[in-house]
Amino acid sequence: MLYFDNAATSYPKPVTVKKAVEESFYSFGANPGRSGHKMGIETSRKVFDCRKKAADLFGLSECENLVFTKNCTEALNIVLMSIGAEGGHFIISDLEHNSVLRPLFELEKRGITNFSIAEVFENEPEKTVESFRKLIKNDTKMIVATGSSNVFGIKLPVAELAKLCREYGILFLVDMAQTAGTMKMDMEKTGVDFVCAPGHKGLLGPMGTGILAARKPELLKPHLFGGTGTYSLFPEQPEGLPEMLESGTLNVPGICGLYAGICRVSEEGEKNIGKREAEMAKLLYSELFSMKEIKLFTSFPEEATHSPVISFVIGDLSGEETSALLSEKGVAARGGFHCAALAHRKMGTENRGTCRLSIGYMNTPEQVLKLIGIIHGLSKKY
Amino acid sequence: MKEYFFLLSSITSAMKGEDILRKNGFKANVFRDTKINPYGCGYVIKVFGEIEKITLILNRAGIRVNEIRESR
Repeated sequence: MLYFDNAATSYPKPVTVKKAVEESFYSFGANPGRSGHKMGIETSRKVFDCRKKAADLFGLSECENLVFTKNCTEALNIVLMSIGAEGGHFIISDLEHNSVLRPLFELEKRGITNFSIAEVFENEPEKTVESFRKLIKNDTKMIVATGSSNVFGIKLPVAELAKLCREYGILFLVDMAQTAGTMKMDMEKTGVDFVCAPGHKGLLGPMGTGILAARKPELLKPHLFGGTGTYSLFPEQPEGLPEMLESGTLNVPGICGLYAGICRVSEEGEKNIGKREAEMAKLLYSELFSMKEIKLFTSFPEEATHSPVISFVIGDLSGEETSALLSEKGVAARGGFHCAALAHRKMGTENRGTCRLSIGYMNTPEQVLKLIGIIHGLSKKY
Repeated sequence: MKEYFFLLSSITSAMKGEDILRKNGFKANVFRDTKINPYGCGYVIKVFGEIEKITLILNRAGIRVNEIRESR
């Protein structure tokens, strides 16, 4: 199989990740933060090591403000429901995933908050920032921006938006679902208040892992109540991160795998990984561009402006039909609407969707060349 | 120099304290004893050294210590 669905989850995982998960069942099989026996303490230490490593990766100075979640969606929900609980206005981009749109839609439906959608201009970061600026109101609480569209790979000018938020005293949340592991983030330096990321995409960990990194932890509220291993005799949910937001048993095998994944990313460096993947995306785009039966939706994917995600269709086929044809040829790609209604509406693809090819850490130029050959063969038939 | 018990309110604080003290050359170990530490989580950092230095390191790291006890 040729796997090009890394925007959904990275595959295959590095051997070190698989070994770390397996080892967890032998060496870290106790419940962390609950018991005092040797394996309980060692498991707690392993979880702490991962927390620290992840905090370092995102430039978060206090590692206790890094919370493990089950995925990026949960992390985004915690932030949006916490900040939105007391009302106010939010601004999101027109490329946001449903994991940002739906919580805000729900808050608006309940009459608690309202939100505006800012237009993103491909390859024009200044215009994009201005489009956000124009929507700022007196009660604007937060700007939410994806690092990069999960469908079209268009990157948002995160550093510039962080500056805008600082200028107006607005909170800034970055959804790094598609950019964690390939783009450097320094939360303290840029002033980004919250980062949400999956553990199982660019960070190469197992599915069922996610991260919430908070520079303003005092603004977060628990979404899940229960056992934390702390203040057990009191009925109130204990305050203080990370325990306040980590009720119930943690996904230790996942966290052990995530630790190995983050170690791999740190050793190689996000910039190097991003550059390597961008080169493959450029090769793929160039070849697809030369096939007249292929319809592409974005401009050339320069690394500065695009992540290695390319949406396309063959002839008059829908995204689903295109991906089904690829599947028959052994290619894993994702067709349809990618949980991103806003992005598809923006790009005029809400009727037939697109087929998304997303390049990841384990892809090679040879695989990209094979993929090009397969698409070339298919395109001649339509 | 003596051995002290630093009583913390969470496992993460305890692990962070242990980590930073070890990096500063102290022999520090986390253990759990709810009789020694009735606060919150029961986790304790056992550390040998000068109390002023240890306290300063933990304070600088933003680690909230509920109580310090001398080991007997």
